[in-house]
Amino acid sequence: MSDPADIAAASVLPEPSAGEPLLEIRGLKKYFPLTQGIVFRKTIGHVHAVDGVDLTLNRGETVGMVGESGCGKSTVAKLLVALEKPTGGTILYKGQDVAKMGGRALKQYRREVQIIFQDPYGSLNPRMTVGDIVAEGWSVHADVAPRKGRLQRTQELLDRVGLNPDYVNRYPHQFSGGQRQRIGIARALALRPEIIVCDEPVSALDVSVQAQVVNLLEDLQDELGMSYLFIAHDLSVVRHLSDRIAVMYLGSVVEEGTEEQVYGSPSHPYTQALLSSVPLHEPALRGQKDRILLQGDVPSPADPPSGCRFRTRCWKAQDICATEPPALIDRGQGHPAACHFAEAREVVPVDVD
Amino acid sequence: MSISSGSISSSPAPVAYDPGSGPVLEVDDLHVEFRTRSGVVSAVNGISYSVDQGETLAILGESGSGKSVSAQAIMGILDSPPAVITGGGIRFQGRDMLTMNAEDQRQIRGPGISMIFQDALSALNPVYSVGFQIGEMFRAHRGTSRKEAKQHAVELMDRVRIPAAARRVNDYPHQFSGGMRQRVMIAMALALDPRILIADEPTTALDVTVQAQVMDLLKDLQRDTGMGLILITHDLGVVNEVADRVAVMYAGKIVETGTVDDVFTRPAHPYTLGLMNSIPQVEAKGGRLNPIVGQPPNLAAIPSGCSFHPRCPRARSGVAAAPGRDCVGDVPPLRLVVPGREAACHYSEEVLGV
Ligand SMILES: Nc1ncnc2c1ncn2[C@@H]1O[C@H](COP(=O)(O)OP(=O)(O)OP(=O)(O)O)[C@@H](O)[C@H]1O
Ligand SMILES: Nc1ncnc2c1ncn2[C@@H]1O[C@H](COP(=O)(O)OP(=O)(O)OP(=O)(O)O)[C@@H](O)[C@H]1O
Ligand code: SF4
Ligand SMILES: [Mg+2]
Ligand SMILES: [Mg+2]
Repeated sequence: MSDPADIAAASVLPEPSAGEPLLEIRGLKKYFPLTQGIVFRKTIGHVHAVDGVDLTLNRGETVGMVGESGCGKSTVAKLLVALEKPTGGTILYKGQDVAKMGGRALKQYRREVQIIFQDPYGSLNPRMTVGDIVAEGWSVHADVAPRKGRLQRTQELLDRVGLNPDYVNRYPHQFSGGQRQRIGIARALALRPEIIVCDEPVSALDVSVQAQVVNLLEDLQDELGMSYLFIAHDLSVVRHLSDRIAVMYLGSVVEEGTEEQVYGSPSHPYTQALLSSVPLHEPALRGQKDRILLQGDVPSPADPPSGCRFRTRCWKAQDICATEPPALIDRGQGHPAACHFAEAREVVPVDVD
Repeated sequence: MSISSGSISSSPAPVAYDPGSGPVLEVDDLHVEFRTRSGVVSAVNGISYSVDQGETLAILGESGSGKSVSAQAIMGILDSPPAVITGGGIRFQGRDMLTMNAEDQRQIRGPGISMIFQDALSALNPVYSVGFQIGEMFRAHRGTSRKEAKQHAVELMDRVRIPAAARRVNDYPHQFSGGMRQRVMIAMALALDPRILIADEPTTALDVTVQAQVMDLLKDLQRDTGMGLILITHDLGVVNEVADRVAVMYAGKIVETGTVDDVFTRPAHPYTLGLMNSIPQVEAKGGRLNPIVGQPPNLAAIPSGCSFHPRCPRARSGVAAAPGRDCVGDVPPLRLVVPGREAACHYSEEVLGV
């Protein structure tokens, strides 16, 4: 890796002071218009994809994000890398409001916060060589890699993520799923990010290749001190990688805590249902776990329930749940959960070994 | 048969089938290769399996080992060229489909076998509403009117638990999240009450609560209709909870088969063992993960002998190998290792410790 000093010199964003998070999201919202009609598009409502998300990410930390399909995880990811514009709320990066950044600061932000996508098949342009894909970001952020050494730098990156450097001129279809995810990681690394937003980077891979990619992400973090926001449905992988976990339901965070707090004493009923549904791979444990079956349908994010969003499917719901949105606070469980009746419960079997 | 509203979930199997007449689907020594400019890619190298009615066979294995390609061959949707079926047979209810003309194949597959794909976004057409695409199944195969087809589409969307189905029936695929799109795909696959459903990573994009619901739904359907299920997945937890038998693939071949209990508790092939050792646990954060060393094989140049030998901790060759069991020189056939279990490793007995 080349000397980071030349980049630091070009930095216009101040380093966060001790104790200050690298990234802080407050009340983040994204509403998508729901339209009807083909000729005259009429807005008939809004999908509340992200509806008041608070989250912090410290340097060198991994925050895992889990939750219902469609609860807004990918939208949070896209808002973070400025692929979508927030409807409301703020994203503070190194203490600065991203919405108010202009020119060089915004450019630096866009370079320092990178994303790896869910789909190793769709996210790489099939007509570009691997070398061009990895180097693509340098056309905008030319200062990161001097023009002369780019081929060598690309090959270093391929080597770093465990791909043969001689493959620079190959095309994405010539690689397996796991290798394509490595290409995506190399592309993100090329810009020397501070944060990588990982939107389901290992979901499509077999468990052995998944383990290779997970180990790679851990090594890169140890070496480069990056932070990850790691989104996935596989709760075992999330537990393995994350320092802290945020559980989302219908556009907002319903529980947050360290890996041990959330898995060991889940306190929000949704988290409990989620963890109780994890299929275990040991035949001896099949059917041993009490699965909490959620009643009813996932409400439409275009018309979320009043009060607590989970109340339509919650076995604990009382009158107050329909009127009062529960705050995301600690009610005595040692970590915050957004439930009026938060209560720790053991759902995941304690270590089987 | 006629479909009236409300009858979809309870309609009996549309294809007459005598349960006493053997497996619903048999795949026999199937070979598929891709003839590309840069060489021949041997994606499927002689796989055989059968699925009985009401049975769930899980196919798991390496990324790129030919799981999806073999499913596409069964469905007749291989990308040809470059893909070519170079050998083998695919029998549905005893009839070999590969020797039939295209129209006969369509007649059989349409209502008989359907598939849910891994990649829901590219499998759906971006320019048609999801309701239209689900309804198309009824229009194309049963001549249902447009209006009725849409009504069925709403019912199916409800059944796979897409919220506000009646309102979202006119929405386009891009307006749905990954998980919701997968449910749209499932609705389409279930439309005609198939005898065999091939589900290629059906729940990869879903959270575990919805995954559990979808798997329950598929199980219920299977119980009601006796449909056979081929489940292709990387999720060993799902396999453990729903499958009867498993087939493990590596480099275009099946390297191990058996019941879930046998294969998961005591793998007979070093590749399967490596897979099992790579799994992170939900019960604890755990230490560093333990993947199989090395990279998956290049299918344009599959290693000689056992294709796993460059990565195998047990591989033996030369003087160390038993006669005829040289991992570098001799191809290990898929053979019966203990009753009910097959594995393609020269040294499975040692792996099993029998
Ligand atoms: N461009 C868009 N227009 C309208 N609605 C959208 C758009 N993008 C996303 N949505 C909606 O916003 C909600 C959140 O979607 P998002 O993709 O963020 O969910 P997710 O948590 O990533 O889900 P998954 O786990 O299935 O990937 C969904 O209801 C989705 O349908
Ligand atoms: N059009 C093509 N041209 C050349 N090779 C191809 C083509 N399509 C697929 N292949 C190759 O065929 C092999 C088998 O692919 P397949 O999609 O069946 O893998 P898979 O087992 O389903 O993997 P995954 O678990 O990642 O989905 C792969 O190595 C792939 O690279
Ligand atoms: S045949 Fe040899 S190389 Fe192949 S899995 Fe068995 S021991 Fe390993
Ligand atoms: Mg998503
Ligand atoms: Mg596949």
